[in-house]
Amino acid sequence: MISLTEIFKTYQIAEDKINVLNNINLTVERGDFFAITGPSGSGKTTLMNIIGCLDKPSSGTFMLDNINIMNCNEQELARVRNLSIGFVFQNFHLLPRMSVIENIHIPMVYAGVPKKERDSKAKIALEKVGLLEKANFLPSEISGGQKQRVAIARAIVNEPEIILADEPTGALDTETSMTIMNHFLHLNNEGTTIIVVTHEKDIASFANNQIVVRDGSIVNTEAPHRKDRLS
Amino acid sequence: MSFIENFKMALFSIFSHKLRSVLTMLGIIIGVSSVVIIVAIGKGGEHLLKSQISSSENNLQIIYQPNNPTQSPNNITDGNFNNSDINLLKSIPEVEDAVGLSSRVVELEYNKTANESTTVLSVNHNYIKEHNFEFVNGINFTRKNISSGERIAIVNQESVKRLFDSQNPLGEIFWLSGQPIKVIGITKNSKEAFGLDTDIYLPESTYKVVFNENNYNQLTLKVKDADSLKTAGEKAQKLLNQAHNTEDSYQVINFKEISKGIENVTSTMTLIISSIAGISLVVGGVGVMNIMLVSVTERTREIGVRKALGATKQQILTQFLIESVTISIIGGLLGVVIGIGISTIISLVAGWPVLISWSILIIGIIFPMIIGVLFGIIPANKAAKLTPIESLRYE
Repeated sequence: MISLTEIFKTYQIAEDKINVLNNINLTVERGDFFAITGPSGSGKTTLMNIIGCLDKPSSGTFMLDNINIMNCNEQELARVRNLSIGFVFQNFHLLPRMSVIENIHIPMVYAGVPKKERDSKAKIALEKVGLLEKANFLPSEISGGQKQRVAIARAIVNEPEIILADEPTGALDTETSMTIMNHFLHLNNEGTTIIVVTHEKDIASFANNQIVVRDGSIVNTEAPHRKDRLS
Repeated sequence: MSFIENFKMALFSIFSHKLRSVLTMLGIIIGVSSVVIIVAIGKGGEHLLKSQISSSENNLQIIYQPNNPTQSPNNITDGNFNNSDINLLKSIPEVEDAVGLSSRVVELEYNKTANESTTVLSVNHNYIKEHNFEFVNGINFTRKNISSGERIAIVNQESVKRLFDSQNPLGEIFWLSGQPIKVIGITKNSKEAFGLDTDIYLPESTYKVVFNENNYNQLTLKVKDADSLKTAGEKAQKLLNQAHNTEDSYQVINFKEISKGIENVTSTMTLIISSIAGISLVVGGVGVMNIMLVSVTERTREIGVRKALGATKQQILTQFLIESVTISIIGGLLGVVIGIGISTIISLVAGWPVLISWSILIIGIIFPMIIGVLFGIIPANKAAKLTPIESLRYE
């Protein structure tokens, strides 16, 4: 469970203080499919960075399961990112000189998983996204949709409780976007908490919980009618 | 994350930029190979110089060298050692043996052509034992030859060229002070740093008869124990100066000390020159730092991704540090290989043995390792300090 209470994020630019997040209160239950929407510049990416432990709030309380993230040092945050959270980025962020399977190895390398186990786990993850036959391809040799599926495989390989996806379909066409979202839906059905940051209504409609962020505050919380695209 | 994992990653990164990596290593390669070459040349040269002091460690040579000849009651020719001198020296408890040798420059007659001046040395059994003659042709003196006064001689290659018009003189007769002498052996040229270049060797007994000379002008002391070399030398010097009523006309040459002196000079020289070469190692280190800084900037996104996926600051630091150390060590090893190659060629040309010690492993591995760490720490730290959000945003 993720619980954010009275979260503020302030940037000091020259002499001006800019409030990016203003008193955010948010709870994401285990197994939720959660969407954070809002126009660009609203602060939704900052919010996602905070939930993903990539950034720390200026003030407030952030509990992830029973860990008080506010009290974690850098090393502990790295550990949380490594084991509890899987990231999926808009630009995929695969390392270009490593093969597909080597990219999937990375989170396990930092988790200290031995080589043999890494290989079998990576293959299972790749199989889940249906790309086992591309294991030894370089990222430059596969399509955008396939890259994002590799990124999903990489995100789930350490079996995290939460998957954080920042505009996961932003660089993809509509049809591919639907495939990707269906993958998330599958994972959600298996019990993984999914948090998607998006500005597309279509994408947000996959979620069963949604917030709209505007000017650093949550302006609307709703449970959209969930489109069931699973066949 | 294990060291092997990091090391593999470093190799991967080095091999994916081959040209850049080689150029980065170049400074280290040049630095290490020049240090290796200089040390090898120093050692080789030292060995060559030492081998020219052809004497075993327990020997002392005594020379007659008056500081002020006019003050001396004896004249120059009395500088010779006679048999009583030898017996006197033999009475020193530390001395095992005292051996006299004679040499002189005389005119040699051969084929009734113009006389040539030549250096003749009388040799005894000990001399032959200690100076391993390398024969080109003919045979060595036997123990019997040394004492029987036979008119035979050994000549060296140099004198063959000069005195015998490059004809093979084996079995030929030449004349010294009106007496015929037969050549029985031809040796390679001796390499003596001190003393005269000898052309012709005569058995001790023959020399005495031919030149009617009972004294010796070279005297070598053989000491029982290498530690008493200095004491024996001082005693011998004192006894001789007393016996001949001179103050300091007799002096001792201690080969061990000369040898040590040469060692000091060459090792100091080697140290100085290799320090200069070592500067290029430091310059190489700056090159490594430069490229690593470029590499960190270039891979900002990669660092961001790794951090998002769970890499700690420490792990990123280690990754980049191991990369710079690996580049430096590979450079160092290549430098050692090139250095050994070039110094082997130099040794072959210069004709001294290939002297490459294990200590170059320190130069080849430890030094570059230190340089890799020293110059890698700044780039690695820069990489470790990047925040994940900013580095993920980096284009």
